Amino acid sequence: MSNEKKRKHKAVRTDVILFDMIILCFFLLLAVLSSAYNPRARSIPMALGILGSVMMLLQLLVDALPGLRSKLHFVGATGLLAKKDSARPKGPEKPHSEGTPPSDQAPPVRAGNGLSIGGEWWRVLRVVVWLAGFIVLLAFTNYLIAVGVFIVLVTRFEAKESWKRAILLGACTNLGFLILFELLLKVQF
Amino acid sequence: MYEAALPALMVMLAWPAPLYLVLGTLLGLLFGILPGLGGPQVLALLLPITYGMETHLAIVLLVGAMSSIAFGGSIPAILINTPGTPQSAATCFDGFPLAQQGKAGMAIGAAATASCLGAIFGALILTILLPVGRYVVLAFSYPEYFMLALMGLSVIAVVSKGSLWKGLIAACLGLILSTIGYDPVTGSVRFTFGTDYLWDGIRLVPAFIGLFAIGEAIDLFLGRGKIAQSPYAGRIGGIGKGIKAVFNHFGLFIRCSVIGTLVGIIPGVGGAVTNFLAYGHAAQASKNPEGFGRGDIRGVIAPEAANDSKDGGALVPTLLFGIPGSLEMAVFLGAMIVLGLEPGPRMMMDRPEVVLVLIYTLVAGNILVALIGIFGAGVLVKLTYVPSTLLAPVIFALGLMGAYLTHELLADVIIALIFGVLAFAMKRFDFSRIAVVIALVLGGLAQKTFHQTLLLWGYKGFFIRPISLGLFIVTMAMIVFPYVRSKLLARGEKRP
Repeated sequence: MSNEKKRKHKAVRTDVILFDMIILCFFLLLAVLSSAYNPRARSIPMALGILGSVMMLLQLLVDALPGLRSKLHFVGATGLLAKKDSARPKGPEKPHSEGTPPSDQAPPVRAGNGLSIGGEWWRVLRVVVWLAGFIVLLAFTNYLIAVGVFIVLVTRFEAKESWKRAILLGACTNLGFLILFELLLKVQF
Repeated sequence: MYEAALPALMVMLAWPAPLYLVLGTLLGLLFGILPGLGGPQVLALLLPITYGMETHLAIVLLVGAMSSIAFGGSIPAILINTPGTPQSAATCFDGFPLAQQGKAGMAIGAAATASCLGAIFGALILTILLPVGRYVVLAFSYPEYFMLALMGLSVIAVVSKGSLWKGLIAACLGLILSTIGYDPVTGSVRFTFGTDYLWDGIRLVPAFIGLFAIGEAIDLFLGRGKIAQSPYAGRIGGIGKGIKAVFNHFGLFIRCSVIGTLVGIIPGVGGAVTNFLAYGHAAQASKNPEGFGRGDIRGVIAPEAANDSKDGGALVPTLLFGIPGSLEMAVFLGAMIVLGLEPGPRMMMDRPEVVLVLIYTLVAGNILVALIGIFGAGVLVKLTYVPSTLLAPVIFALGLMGAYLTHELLADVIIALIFGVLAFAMKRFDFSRIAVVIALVLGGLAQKTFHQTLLLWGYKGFFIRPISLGLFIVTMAMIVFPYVRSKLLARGEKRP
């Protein structure tokens, strides 16, 4: 394996493992918290928390140590009605719907949108920050201001469109929202 | 009741009833299309308008709005993978992949036709069942509700087409999220982390907006492409193929309409359950189920048929007992009482013309909205060719405003954002969002009725009641049958 492929392989595994750990921690947290409730109230969440933790732990082990895949083959089993052929699609990655059959190897390097794995997650983080900014604007200003400012800034600085397009899109969206919410639906925010 | 059939028809066709039908249908379609809005909201908004109107005109306006919600919710489900209402969630699974393949017209044509015919089927069943429906409603109790929820959860094993293990983890996640909030059976408040907001649990509307709209919009935005992956042909075709597909799969359509009507009759189950059950049945009963989730037209026909036929079923307990089958029906029930109507068995005897006007409007509204959908598809489908960097910000704004709209709580918007990020991550790492959605919807019903059954009958309560036992056997058959068939097929292929 070349150094570039090793680096990308490691990067892919890191974000998968991080996600697995977050979900595992979530299950564990709820299982522990449920112990404080009365027996009937805790029965189902505790059972689900423990079950989810065990399942997620096994998934984490398989993702972190690919050599375990052959021993824990049930973790990679496909759905009842999935095709047995789990070959990775060839060529550029196409947008897929739920449940693409997994490969026996590590998750594929994603390059469908031209971004590296780390670059993609950095972009996702920026989008989330923009959305959080929208929520803050919504909390302190009128919804039309929040929508207009959000659309213009995201279109200009994230989507890299021209100012003209960004402002036009923001204005059209605001007009559409105004007609929709205030004139048609008579909603008062 | 049936002797009032012709007079009721004349009442419905007399001006200005058709005008109110068109107005109600268009408004319902708009509310169905917009994520965060739906039947309860449009009925609540129209209710004050009906004060002082003649009873039959008010019924026409309200039922016209109600009848177009389901199909309205399917349009964004197909075009931008965002169900307009929770009851259109299953339509996303195959409707959106079809749009990505440039077959949005076909998907909309099939959805419109299945919705319209499904509604007619539901209305027919309603007309037949009204005199006898009370026996069905009264036969259902906690064990039966639990088994119905279990049947819906079994669909997860079908729709987890990639890693079943990850599908089950996602289902666990959805189920444990459904335990958040106040539990009326055990009297506990669970996992609220000190906030009042979570006392009601995770609200479905913002969660769905996050899982579908926001998550998908993030993916779109990063992709910098268009929804439709195939080039724009200049004109939108395939609508006729979509219409024809419903007739090509007529057996499936009928079965799913039956499922929708029967499930709709049961109070409290809701449209979200119906469309998953129908989708799961379609996949399980299919000889070649590999296409489901990848743009199989049957994955659109099945939930759409069930969605609209359920309205006819939901009116059975609402009209017969005054027991609303869903939140929408609860608001409609309130409207009927305001109009001076008294739901119950006597309504069929005292005001048969009102009941029949209601049924006719249900049919007419669905036909009208299907025609609007079919002829408007060309305009709607163009959305799938808009560059994603322009479309995604609008979807973000619309989705988050939709989450805000329901209760004007910023917490709803935050929930939508959190679920949006979760949905994006789940899609990236091949965890099934569908499993989370199904478990989130059914989890509350399943655990509540589980505890209630145990309190009243113990574990044997699930198996000593014939309907409950029958549902359990059907559920086991639904899980086992596809596996057995695939094994038999594999064995047959191995033979020389």
